[in-house]
Amino acid sequence: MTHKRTATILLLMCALLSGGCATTRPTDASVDPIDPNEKTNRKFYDFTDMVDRNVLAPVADAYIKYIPNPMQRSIGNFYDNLAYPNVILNDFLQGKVRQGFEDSLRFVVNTTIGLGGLFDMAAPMGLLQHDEDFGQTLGVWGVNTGSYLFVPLIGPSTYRDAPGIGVSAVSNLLFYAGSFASAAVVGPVTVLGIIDKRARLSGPMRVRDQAALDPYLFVREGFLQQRKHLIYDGDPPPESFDDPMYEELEQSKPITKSSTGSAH
Amino acid sequence: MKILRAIKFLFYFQLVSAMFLIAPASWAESPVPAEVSDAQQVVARLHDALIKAMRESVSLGYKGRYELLAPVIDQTHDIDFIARTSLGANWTQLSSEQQHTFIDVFRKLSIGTYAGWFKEYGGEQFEFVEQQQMPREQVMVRSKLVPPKGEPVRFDYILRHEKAGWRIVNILADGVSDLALKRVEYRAILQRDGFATLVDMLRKKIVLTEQS
Repeated sequence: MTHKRTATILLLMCALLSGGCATTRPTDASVDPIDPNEKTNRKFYDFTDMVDRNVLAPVADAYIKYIPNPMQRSIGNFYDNLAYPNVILNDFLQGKVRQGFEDSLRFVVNTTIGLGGLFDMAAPMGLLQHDEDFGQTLGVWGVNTGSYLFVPLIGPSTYRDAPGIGVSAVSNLLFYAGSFASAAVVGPVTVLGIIDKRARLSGPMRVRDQAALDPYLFVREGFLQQRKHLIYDGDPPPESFDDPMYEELEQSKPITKSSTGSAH
Repeated sequence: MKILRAIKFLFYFQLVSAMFLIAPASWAESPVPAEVSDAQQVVARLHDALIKAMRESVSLGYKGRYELLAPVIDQTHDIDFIARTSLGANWTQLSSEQQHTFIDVFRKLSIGTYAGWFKEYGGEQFEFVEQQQMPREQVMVRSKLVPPKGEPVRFDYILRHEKAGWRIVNILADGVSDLALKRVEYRAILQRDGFATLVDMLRKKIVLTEQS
């Protein structure tokens, strides 16, 4: 029953998203090809930011301030472990067979010896945590990034990454918790999971608040680049940095460059 | 018991996927010989200054850190080039006075950002990872900042060779390019709000670096 339901949700999402891809408007000079839906995305961003500043951020700040660090770590470990089947699944989908078996073992070790994931007992054994998801899998398979998408309350994404939201939801053990635990337990556990997730984002959010001139663009560019970095497992080949910024500069260069900058 | 079934299903799925998929080609590049290159030395110089700024953070204060880092950044970075590249094609549309103002503000913001962020020392160390050749005769020096506890942060530098030697022209922190981020923001603001607003916003950010 559960599988049937999840399969339907997944199919629906895929259909919706690929439909979205097919209906992109004709290109316009003022429209950024990576972000043709900027207007809508900005609205979603502003709404999410408003909710975040008024509700989530104060709670996350209090959590960081009052919950001792080791406890925060354990809580983080617990949720990472619940979500780890997603990493394992995507290891195999990307053809990383060895990493897939190691991650499976990591999951078993942490679930058992690590007391339900509260303690990362696998890392000292050499079974390090990996970061894989379905969006990265699609990237490895050669699917293009597609347009940028800001999903309300969830955050930055792309047409390629959005199906991963569904995949990570159904591969998270928390998704099945409702069928054997009461709502009185699942509810608070889910809420704590959200607080934990937001608390871990507080560092990057601080960087954004201090450095960004246009927070929407800052988040968009930072996200797109970090995704690329993750698809290459943190080790992108030099060619991947070959972006057009230098060509544009070469064309626009008025005078030969002097290394001392005296031309200005 | 649905949970067990779900896990079983998952493992079954993995096995099936494993049978169908083959291992991908390795992305890894062969590392450059271990000899310390000139480009690496430039990065090391910056790193030493940053660690010093962190270690002596309290006694130096923001102003002291700024003054310590300013000459090092001037000598290790090509600020003119970074500033120009961050504006892309818009650069040529500025008057020489505007170009001058922009470079000046940009320089202060760059130094201020370093002085603002590198101010707490908890035993962190920079470690060299590797050096790679890049297109257009540039090199990338990869390094990481390793804290005694927790995850290291990757700092990759792109350097180009100039008359005065190797100079940093871009920094990637965990894969996020500082230059690309700035380029997108600056260009948008320049086109939307104009040069005066952009410079004004940058000046406000300089003040903010002191409070970080």
